[in-house]
Amino acid sequence: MANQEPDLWANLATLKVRSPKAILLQQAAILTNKTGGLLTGDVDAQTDDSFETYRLDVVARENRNLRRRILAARYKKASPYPCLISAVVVFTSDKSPDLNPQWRAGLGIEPKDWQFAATEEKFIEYLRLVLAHQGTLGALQSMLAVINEEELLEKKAEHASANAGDGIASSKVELPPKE
Amino acid sequence: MLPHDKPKLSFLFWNLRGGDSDTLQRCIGRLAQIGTNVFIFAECQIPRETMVRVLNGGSTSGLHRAVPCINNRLHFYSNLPLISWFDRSLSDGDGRFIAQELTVEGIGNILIFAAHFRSATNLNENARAIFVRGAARDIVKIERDAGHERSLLVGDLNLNPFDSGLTDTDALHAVMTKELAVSARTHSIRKEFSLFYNPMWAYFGDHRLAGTAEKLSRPGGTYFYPNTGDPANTFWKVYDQLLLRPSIMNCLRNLEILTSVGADSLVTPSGRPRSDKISDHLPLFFELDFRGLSNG
Repeated sequence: MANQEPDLWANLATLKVRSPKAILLQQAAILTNKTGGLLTGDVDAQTDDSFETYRLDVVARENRNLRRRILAARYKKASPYPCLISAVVVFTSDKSPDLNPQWRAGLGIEPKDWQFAATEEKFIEYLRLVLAHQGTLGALQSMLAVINEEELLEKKAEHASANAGDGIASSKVELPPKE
Repeated sequence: MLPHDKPKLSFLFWNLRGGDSDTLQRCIGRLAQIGTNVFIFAECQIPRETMVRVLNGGSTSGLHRAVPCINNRLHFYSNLPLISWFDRSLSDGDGRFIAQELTVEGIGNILIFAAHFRSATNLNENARAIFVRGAARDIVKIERDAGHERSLLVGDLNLNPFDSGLTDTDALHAVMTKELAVSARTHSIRKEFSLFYNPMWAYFGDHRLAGTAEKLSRPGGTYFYPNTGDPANTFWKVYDQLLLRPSIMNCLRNLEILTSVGADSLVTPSGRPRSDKISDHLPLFFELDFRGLSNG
């Protein structure tokens, strides 16, 4: 019986590995679809000499385009893993290892606020943690609640206008008349 | 209505460096009494309840109140109705950057960005500039969301006006004259990038009062770095800055680096910030007159 050389490599479960950028774009599209466009996922890319940074925001088009940041991911150019993830609402651990200031600078974060994903699996694990976290859910629900509230107010105003010709009260600061 | 009889808004930005002395509080209170509308503080250790009392002359029921913001590293107070503010801040990093949109009747909306960017203590200039580039992108995104560029940025940027984080097209892209703030946009390599006008270029070094040989009208910068062991040290820095988009730069009426408030001096006899008693930064005070702006 011939000797079989042992396979010392880690398990490459799939060859279709995606970059953090691709995964974030996918999740942004899923959120937009899931909320019927009320909330839009927006991924912004920033590159500098050595790094790429991607920020996932959620925008409420029906609420003055209010934008909230969900997370940021940063990695070396052409080397998506390992990847640094910052999500203030979620990561407050002090277990993160020390890191080159250049990494931190792109995200603007303290070490307690980030996690380090060495592989795609780990990145997805952290991403799931962030996207399904109570803090994130609370932020999304707040945005939806304000949209719904405004819709109600509009309906109320339409009703009042039909009855008395009045609109909703202004929330603006008034300047004195021009001199 | 605004709480004074002129169609102007006045602002004060001050890095307090954790100070809470009686002198400091007296200065802040006095600035509120003379009608300053918006106060933005960095490194503020004074609890919000105390600050509200200071701003309202000892009362907790005055017009000055803390403006709610999802980022709390900078403290924001105003005597304008709270309902006129809309928090557009992004909860990115550690809350060093805030965005508030103010609605003004007959004028439209104004975006007020405030920042306390990373200190030179831990990061070199290039690393600090990377962070500023991220904030510059956020400013553009928020302006797009808001649908206008009537914006200003004020804060302790921990960079000088000539550093790359301030001047590069993909950073804050802030230029030193009003004329450039308009004309540079026509340059092919700059046309994709909105510009800021940075009036702080004029605030370096000695500036003597007209007709006098000795008397200085203002300090050499906003922050003094006394490291005598650093051969490249410029000593005075203009880290505390106000930048304005061209659409509102002509609204600027007054911009001062304060060295005294009433009888209280903020500087030593040699003209440097009283870092031991008050703060190692001097405050920026400015006024904007919106009458020239069109509605929309």
